[in-house]
Amino acid sequence: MSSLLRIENLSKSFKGLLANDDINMEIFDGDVRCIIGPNGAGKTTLISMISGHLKPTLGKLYFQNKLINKLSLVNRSCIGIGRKFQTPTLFDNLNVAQNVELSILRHNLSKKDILKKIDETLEIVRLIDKRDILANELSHGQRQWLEIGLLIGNNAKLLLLDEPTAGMTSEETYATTKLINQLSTEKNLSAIVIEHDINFVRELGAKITVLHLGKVFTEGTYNQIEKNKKVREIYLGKADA
Amino acid sequence: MAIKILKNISGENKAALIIFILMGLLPIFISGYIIFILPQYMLFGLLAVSLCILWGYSGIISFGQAAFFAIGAYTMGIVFKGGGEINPAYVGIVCGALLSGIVALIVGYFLFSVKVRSSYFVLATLALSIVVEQLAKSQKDITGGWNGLFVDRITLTIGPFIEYSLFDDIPMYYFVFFITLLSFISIKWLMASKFGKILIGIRENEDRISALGYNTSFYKTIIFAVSGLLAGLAGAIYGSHAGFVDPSLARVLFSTEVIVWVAIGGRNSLIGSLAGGILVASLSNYLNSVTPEYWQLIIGMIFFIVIIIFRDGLAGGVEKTYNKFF
Repeated sequence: MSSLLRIENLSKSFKGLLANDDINMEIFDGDVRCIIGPNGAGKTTLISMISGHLKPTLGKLYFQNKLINKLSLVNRSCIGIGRKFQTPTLFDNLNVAQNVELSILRHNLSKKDILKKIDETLEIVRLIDKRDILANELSHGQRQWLEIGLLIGNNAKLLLLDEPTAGMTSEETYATTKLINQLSTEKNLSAIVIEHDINFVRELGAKITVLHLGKVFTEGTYNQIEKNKKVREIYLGKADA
Repeated sequence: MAIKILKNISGENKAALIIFILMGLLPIFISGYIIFILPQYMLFGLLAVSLCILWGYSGIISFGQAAFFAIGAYTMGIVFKGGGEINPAYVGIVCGALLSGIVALIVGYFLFSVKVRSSYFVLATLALSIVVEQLAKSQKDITGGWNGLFVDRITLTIGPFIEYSLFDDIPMYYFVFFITLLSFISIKWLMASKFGKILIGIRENEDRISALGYNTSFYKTIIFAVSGLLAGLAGAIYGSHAGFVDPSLARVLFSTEVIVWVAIGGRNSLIGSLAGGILVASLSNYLNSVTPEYWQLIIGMIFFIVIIIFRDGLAGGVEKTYNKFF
């Protein structure tokens, strides 16, 4: 397994407020990592720095062992960092197949290969029978999947998924954990997933990083995190009460 | 067989086919003023298409189309005034289109690469119209100032011996007709290509398309240059057809008219925009001769009515009606 993303001493301050404070993390090919933490812990800030939407104040980002701090948002998508936004961000007035086509067009494939790849991608994200439906007519859960589909069509190697199950039924949430794990095992894709839904986190079964006040609070498996009293105090404890 | 082929053509292409066939056959049935003036409106139609690819396809609204049209027209005028060895028709048309395209490329590059917000972009294009108009007024030695420039009808030449004058109305009509047809087909092809699809992606969701790895300012700059090129081409030929260019061509009011044509014709449809330009310009001319006091009021009311009833202009209205009955 080779290193896909390495984060070294990453910090971000907004006018003196430290949103991310000295974060270190390494993601290997095929890894799925779950990031949890209370509101304001700095989860979305971290993802935004990886995707290139925000510039880090301090620290270094390596993708496939190359420094990418200076790479623009567009170029980061080109090397394989794909982001799914917190609210599904799609081409609302285009149909499902056209949405995926736009993610595939970048690769200069022949017309036949584009059509083939659209079908493959829609098959993976379970939207093959919705291909002619407009994106804004999909359910909230299907919109989330379509956005993941755009990242797959775009050949992303690292999926940054910001709350991928927001607005989903429990059935859809379960299907999403299966989808993410399937992408990891079958396609060797890696994912960093931000989630609040604790059922999702348990079902996903990935290694968990807990962020608190911008810092890595602790890391571990679901069982370890669940038993950690301090995590309960900052996060789960509040949820229980 | 023919019916089978017709069935496979999309509604928009059918409309385009019908409009071009009608325009192609028109001089057989009528002559006189209409055949003289219609080429001018076809060029206005092309000007409308140059806005359609920006506004309808890419979501960029421009109040500067008149400026590019004027740059084309003045280039033709100045080339004629200067004379020269090579046929001024070709020099005028090629330079007019290129110069407009280059100005658009430069303006677009500076505005889009610093990611100017769309509301400020509109203001910048508005300013461009004013700058071009002021230059046309003030540079008397080159542009003739308020008096403008007289331009001759062009003559097409192939080699040293074959000449084809466009002085008469019918040759001019067919020359403009073929330029319009060729430009329309080229733009149609461009918009159906990968490039056109990405522009639609930019219009639909710029955040998403750039997060998919497309450099949006590059695509926007290129389409703005293509739009300038097309407007300049139409302007250069207009100069020769009208026989006269003056600063009013660059006026903001004229740019606004282009927006009205496209809005009435349908900004999401190339053929709708072309037809919008031809129809509304013809109607304006007719109303102007019938009721010189009220024609602008009537055009304004038609604009409101069309926008309220059909959000996608006449093209959208025709499509809806067609789908209802067939």
